[in-house]
Amino acid sequence: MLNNTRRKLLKLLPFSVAGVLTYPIGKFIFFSENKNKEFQLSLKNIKDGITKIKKHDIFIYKTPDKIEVFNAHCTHMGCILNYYKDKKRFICPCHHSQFTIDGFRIKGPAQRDLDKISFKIKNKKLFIG
Amino acid sequence: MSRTVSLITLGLFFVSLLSGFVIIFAYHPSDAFTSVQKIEFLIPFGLFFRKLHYFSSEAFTFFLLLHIFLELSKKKIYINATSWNYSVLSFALVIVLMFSGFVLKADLSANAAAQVAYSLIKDTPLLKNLLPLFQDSSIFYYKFFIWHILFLPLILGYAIYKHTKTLHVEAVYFSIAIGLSLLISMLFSMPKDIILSSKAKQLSSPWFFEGAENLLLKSFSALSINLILITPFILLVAYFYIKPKNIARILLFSWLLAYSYISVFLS
Repeated sequence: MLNNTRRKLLKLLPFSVAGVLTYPIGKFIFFSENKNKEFQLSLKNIKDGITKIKKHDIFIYKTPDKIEVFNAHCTHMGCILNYYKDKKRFICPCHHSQFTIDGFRIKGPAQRDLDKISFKIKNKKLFIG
Repeated sequence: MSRTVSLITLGLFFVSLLSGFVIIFAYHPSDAFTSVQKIEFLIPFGLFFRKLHYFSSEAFTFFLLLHIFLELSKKKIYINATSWNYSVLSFALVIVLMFSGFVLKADLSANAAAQVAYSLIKDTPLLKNLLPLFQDSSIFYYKFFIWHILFLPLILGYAIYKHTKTLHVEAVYFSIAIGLSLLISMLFSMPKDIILSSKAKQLSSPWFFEGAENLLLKSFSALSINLILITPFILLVAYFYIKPKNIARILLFSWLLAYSYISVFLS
């Protein structure tokens, strides 16, 4: 009788262990680190027009009056946009969405303007993120 | 004919697996593109093994499709439901493996394909919860690499075993598979890798996702595209249970025809 109960308990043991471990394993595997990290750039290195910062996938649009920072990913499917200086346009190499130099959507399957990224200027440095 | 095709398919699976196993030793997810270029241009026989892996995988997919076509054209199904369902799972896993392999070449088109796949998953309810399984914040290709070299081949091997009841390939069929892969590798060249700093006007996706890409051009939603992509697998599972097989055949053929048309003519 006792043996039988013990055997049944032993049979259930692997399932119990698996059940208990499911939550921590799930939490571990599905952990996602926040990719948005702050970084800074010297304003000296940013020329007028469009500057692409490849490492952070951003475009900086600088004129004598203003600065804007855009996410370099297309707002449609996330491909990295190309900037064409002659046309003053961003064009997506995947599905051909087009955006103006200041980030407004012109045409293509993208439904939104480019995502702007917040920044601060302090001591001739651009703090992005 | 049907048995020969299925055994060559299994043989090609092993050729793809073994050639991929060789490449693992020189592939570094932290510097993926450079390592792929080193494999191709620097390491002795690197190009040979990369081409062998690429073309054996492509041939494996082609023979798998042929195997499915031949089985569907039979009047009766000669396997049980479990075996059938594992075969559909194998087919789905092969497509995922092919896609992860495309991403691991780590050039500009691979990068874009991964971004599009992320967006398709992110914008689809329920599926978006799976995103951390592929996404990594520090090394972009690391999780694709782990899935491609470890989990997916293991699950695929298990699914094939449950489908065929064996993983044994007779020497003659393995030789045919190797011979075929070598022949195709010698006759054809691989698509060129696009360097990351280049400004490509048009980036292409793997051939089996061309239809999905063209639907994205026409502003189809991520959910609808995922439903379109999953339809043949649902139809294949249903095929076992639907009694007048012709109805299921017509549905599958219609999907194939429509998707082929979208892939070729809708761009």
